[in-house]
Amino acid sequence: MTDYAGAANALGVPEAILRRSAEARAKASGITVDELLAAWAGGEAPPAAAPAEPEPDSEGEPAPEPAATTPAAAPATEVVAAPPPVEPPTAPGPVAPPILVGVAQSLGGVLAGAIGILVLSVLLAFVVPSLPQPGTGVRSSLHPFSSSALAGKEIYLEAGCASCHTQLIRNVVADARLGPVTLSDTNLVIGYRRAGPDLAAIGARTDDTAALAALLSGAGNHPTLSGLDQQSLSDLLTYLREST
Amino acid sequence: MAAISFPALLPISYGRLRPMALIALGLGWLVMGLSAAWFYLLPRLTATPLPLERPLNRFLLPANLIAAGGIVIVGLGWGDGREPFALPWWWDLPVLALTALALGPTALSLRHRLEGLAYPSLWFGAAGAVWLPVIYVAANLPGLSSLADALADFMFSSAFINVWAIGLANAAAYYVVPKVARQPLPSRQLARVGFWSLLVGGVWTGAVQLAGGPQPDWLGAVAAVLGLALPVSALANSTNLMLAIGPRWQSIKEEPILLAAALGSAVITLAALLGAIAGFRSASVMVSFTLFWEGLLTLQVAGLALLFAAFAWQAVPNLVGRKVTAVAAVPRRLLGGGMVAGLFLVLAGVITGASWAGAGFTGAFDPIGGGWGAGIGAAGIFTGLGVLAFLYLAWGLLGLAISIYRAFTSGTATEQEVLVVREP
Repeated sequence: MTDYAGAANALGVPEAILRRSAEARAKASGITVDELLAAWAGGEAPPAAAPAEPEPDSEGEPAPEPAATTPAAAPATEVVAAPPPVEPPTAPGPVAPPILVGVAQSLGGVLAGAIGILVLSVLLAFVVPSLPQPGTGVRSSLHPFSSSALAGKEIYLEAGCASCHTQLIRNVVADARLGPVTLSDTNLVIGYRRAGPDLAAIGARTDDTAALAALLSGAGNHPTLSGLDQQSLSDLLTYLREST
Repeated sequence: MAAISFPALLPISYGRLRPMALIALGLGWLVMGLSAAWFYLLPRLTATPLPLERPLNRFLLPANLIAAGGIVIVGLGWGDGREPFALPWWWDLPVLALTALALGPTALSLRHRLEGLAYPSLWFGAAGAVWLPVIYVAANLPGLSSLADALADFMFSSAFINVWAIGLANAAAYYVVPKVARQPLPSRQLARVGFWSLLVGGVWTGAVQLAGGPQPDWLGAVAAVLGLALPVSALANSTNLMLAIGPRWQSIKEEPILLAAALGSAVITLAALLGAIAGFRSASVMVSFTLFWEGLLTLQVAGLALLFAAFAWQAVPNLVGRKVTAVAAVPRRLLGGGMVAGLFLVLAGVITGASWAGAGFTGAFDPIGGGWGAGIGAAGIFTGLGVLAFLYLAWGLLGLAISIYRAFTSGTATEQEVLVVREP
């Protein structure tokens, strides 16, 4: 019968913590709990068991809290009733802290791998696909915007238009009627969702500026773009008209 | 969702409301809550006192102000329109500090760790601490082309949720479940599979949303294949956690912590499976830019909320010496609200995509102005039902917040964990 209480008393560690720690550590080290406790009580490393796997296939619970000589300050919070007092640990002398015994597992490989995958992911998902692609020279999606349209593009972004409207005509059937397919040199705002119509070639699809202005003022269930002065509204309309 | 369904009802448009909500979700809740979880785990897994504790405590108020300030800035129309957060460059800098919050304490803890065992929670947390600031910088580089902006934004959104948030939630779950169930972790190999496949597949649900766009063709194939790693990760992690519950399965309804962890990992697995299916071109061109992705995000948020609940209900009593109460109904609300809202939005996205494909081909709708309604198809009813389910999900989130708050203010006394550390 393992004397957890005695060992806990000798080491100055709460019995529950000691029990969990010892069981997990003994299992990981391939020795018995009694052998482990005896080693701890003597302040020695546990006997080396059969060649211990540096990283066991199955492991115990998360590392319990380390034993200590100095209790850390508890959170300064009032409690309704005082919790069961924890006996201050008695100084165990030169005894090595039990949970510190074991095979150290390096985290260098984990960190190096995580950083490596991060770099590869950024390169593959973002950097390389963003590089300019050689065009055919036949067509370009780069729009020569006027200064008013460029100001309108900023307003388009600030107003959050890209949350509801794309400016992206894909090479799929669903987009076939919208206009010419968007190429990689586009300077339109590609957008994130299509809660409303795509606006990639809106300037070519309609010349009804009044209807567009009415939409921006709340017609057709479109949200009102409040806070825009006449100049801003005009710039925004110019941006849409020049998006052909 | 209400703003997109009924734009005239709210004084602020969906275009601004959406990034405001994402800031509240991402910076206000996930960064704060999961950083707290990580700072709780670090000393317990490394056997060292939390480094930089005082500066971290002092940064708590500024951190909250950074998140709240971002919401105000975007609401006032000063944002740059780039999702998910749409913050202007001058507010990206303090947010970068927020995302780099865990870097210093993590590096110092790992450097001085006394615990030799590298428990799986450490892998997830350490990787997340490195990934988040780097990916945030990459996603906010100025002066990029329109295509690069879009790729970067989608990549960040995907990595933020999949690698960082779900990774840290897994770190917390790997700690909490074996503790509460009093079972050893069943398989370190499964945890290893779950960790590495999460990193490999984490960013690819972003690129697939541009299917058919101007990016190189190979990107779609790479995203579809590597995106398959995400459900592998979710299945490995959830299997490991559920095996760790062991004999407690018989009474899991009376074990809110274990119940929340099991449900959370299951919901995240469902979202990962849907995301992987949507990675293939035939599916991705249909659901791109639709509410399908909002549905997926809703499922992920519900899963994260459940895993966070499991962590908080285990950790908070240990820290404050008071029990959490009124938690029994919370997992049911988070699961029910999240699943119903998420799946309705997924359905709405599929219907919308199918309507575009059909109507765009036949010319049955006018893709401008009021004629757009036909392009949305019958998705409106499902969006509306999703909004209603959101209310139930919000009720669950409110219950979670109240349960944590009450533990601080009025919970009955329980054992308090006193973390004691031996000087090296």
